[in-house]
Amino acid sequence: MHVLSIPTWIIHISSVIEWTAAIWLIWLYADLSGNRAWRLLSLAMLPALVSAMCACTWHFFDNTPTLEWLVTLQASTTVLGNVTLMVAAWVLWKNRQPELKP
Amino acid sequence: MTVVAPNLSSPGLLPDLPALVSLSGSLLLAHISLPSKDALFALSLFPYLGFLWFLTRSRQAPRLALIGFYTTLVFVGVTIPAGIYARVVYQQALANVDWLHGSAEVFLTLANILIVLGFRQAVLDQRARNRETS
Repeated sequence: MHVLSIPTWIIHISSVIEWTAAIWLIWLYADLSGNRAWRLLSLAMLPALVSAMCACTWHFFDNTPTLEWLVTLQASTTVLGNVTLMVAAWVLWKNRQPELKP
Repeated sequence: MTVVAPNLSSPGLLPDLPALVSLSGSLLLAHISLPSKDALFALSLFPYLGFLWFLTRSRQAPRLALIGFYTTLVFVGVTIPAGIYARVVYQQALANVDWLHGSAEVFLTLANILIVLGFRQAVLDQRARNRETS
């Protein structure tokens, strides 16, 4: 795990923690706002979390070429995750409540 | 992927059959192989743009969180020249040039901070609003 310096590791781990926190906050917001479409968005953010785990695992093993399949898996879950995000945003847009603006 | 050339100089009259099978197998695999990771990363941009389009149109997202989701595009935009620079100057993948890797990734961290702060504020505001109405 020495290919990444400590600051670069901190940057990576903070991104993952923040994304997880965002998933949790959006889940809470779904309950509080009464707009269930937010719950869908928080679930739609999970594939990107898997993608991030793949990247971090690959970095942990010093970006070993034999583990390059992890990068392909990361890329695939990124595509999947962005599609699920788009679907969730589409549902939000479909069920939009005109005056409810936080 | 390793392509094994058929051994046509084998002593018998027949060409080296296993080598030919191996060659055709490799060629076939080359045709049906999965898209490369670079192609997948490039492809992933389109649904993300769709996501931003619908999220903006919905007018439901907290402003700061929406800015955060757009900032992710800055991260994507930065990784492209950073990746080229790593290839040209260091003959390495971006992930192997620590200072470039970290400098690019910091934009993703920043984007995610904005998303968290935006939704944190939305949760707090909504809690206050619910308390008023109850």
